[in-house]
Amino acid sequence: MGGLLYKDFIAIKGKRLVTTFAILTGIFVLLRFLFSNTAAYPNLRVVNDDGDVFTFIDMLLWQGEVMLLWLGGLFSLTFSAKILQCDAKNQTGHYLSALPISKKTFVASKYVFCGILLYVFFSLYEIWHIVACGFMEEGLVLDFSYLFSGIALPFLGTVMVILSIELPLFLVLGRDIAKVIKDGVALCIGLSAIAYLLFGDLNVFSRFDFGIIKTWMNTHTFEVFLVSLLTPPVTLGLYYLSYRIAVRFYHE
Amino acid sequence: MMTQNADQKKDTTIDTTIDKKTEGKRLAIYLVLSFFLAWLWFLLTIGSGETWEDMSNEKQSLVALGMMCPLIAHILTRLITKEGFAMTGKGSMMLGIVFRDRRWIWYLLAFILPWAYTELGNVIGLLLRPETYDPTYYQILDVDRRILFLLPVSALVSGTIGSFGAFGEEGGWRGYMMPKLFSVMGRVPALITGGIIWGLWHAPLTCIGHNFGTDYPGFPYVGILKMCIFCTLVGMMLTVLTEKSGSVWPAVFMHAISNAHPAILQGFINPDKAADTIISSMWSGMLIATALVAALLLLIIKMAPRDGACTL
Repeated sequence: MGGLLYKDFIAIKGKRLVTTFAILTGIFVLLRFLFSNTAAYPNLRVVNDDGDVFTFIDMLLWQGEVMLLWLGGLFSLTFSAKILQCDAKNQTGHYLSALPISKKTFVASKYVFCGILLYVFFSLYEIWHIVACGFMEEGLVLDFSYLFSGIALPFLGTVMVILSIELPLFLVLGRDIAKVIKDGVALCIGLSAIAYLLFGDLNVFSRFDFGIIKTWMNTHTFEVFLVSLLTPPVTLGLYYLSYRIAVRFYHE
Repeated sequence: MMTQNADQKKDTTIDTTIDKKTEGKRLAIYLVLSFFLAWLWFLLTIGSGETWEDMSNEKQSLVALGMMCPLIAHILTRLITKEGFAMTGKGSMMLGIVFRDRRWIWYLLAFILPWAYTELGNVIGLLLRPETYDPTYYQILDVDRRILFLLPVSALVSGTIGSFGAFGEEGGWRGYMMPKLFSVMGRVPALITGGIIWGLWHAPLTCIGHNFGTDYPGFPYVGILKMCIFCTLVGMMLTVLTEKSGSVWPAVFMHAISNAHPAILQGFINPDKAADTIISSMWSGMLIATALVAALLLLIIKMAPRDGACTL
């Protein structure tokens, strides 16, 4: 298993990726420390009539944190396809059949690798979030940051669910067919979104009141707690189920 | 023949000495880096005269990121000493996960033990100071009663997902320091020394009131001493889990869950009702419980058959 994981690590140019993210994290931490006192830059902060503070430096750093989360999701999805494409290109399947490695282990390695990627990106995001918020002035940007950090786990959970569908497709149907299906689904979603923007009822967005959701969440703390508690095990359960299905069909 | 044997014996002795020396040097490099990086981080993030209670939640999290320093020190030490970055096996970073040979038991224990010693600690604390029992304290904490009973499960889930901080510490202490200490000074002294080092590493945090606050007699020296004792006891359990599973991950999960406070009874114990003494009821309860659970774990391991066990 270790060897298979290392093979995939090489396939995504892991060493270069780790070095890049380590340097980026270092720069991010350095920037945060250099601009820790945002009050020292009065030209880069705005206070609205309600007294809420908006600091551009904090906003820029928060953008970095947001970018990292998007990159995490995007990379996880791209790399899952990439490691399987590399296997198809190098005919790894034929090579592995000569080694004492079962098909089950091969499939498991793909799931474990993608799981590790998600764990690493989530951890990295959390570190960036803590660093960004560490010296953040109380105000709108800090509120945004907390709001967004609440979305981080469901977002990566959604990526995990997408991987649960994508991995068996690539493993069982092969690269070419799976890619056609994946692109087809992505195109359908994209076209549906454009069609809705062109012909749909856009008043829905103007009627959307975030305050109602916030009030509901404050009055239903137990339900919110229960959902946040159950979502990770359920997502992991789906991921495991997908693995079992992939193993079964990959054998056949 | 005898001369040849004597020569061989001499060679082996020399090899062991060199090994011990090398391991000792590596350990020294690691400890210097680990302490330097972490204490520098604490120095940079903690403002002068600031206590843990004065800090905002964001600032507390930033200071706590110092937990990553032992892992960074581990990686830097391996780069300096050119030991390589093997994931599994002897002398490795011990990052592999193996469930066969009944090693899954150690992962299960890692999930259960923090809840066991925290809750047992609360029970002992209540027995020592019954006046701290407050059936409505959870209302003061503004926690839903139903949520309170799900806290151990919540700690398990959140601890496992957000375990990067604990990974930062355990990747260094259990992944590098303990194997080196074992080879330098033997088992029992290593466990005690490892715990003391770990406790001392927390000293800057203890000095600003993390864990024990600032309002107790003998502050901060008594706090540092208490932290060393607590770290030795918990460190024993963490080291045993690492040793038996051959991986740092059970220790990581146990540490992370322990940090997430997996206790129901904390909603019924009002610490304000007890006067601050050198050894407060809650902490003495926690220390006794941790010692009991650690002793029980070591006893079970001693009595259990040796198959499936592995060494650091």
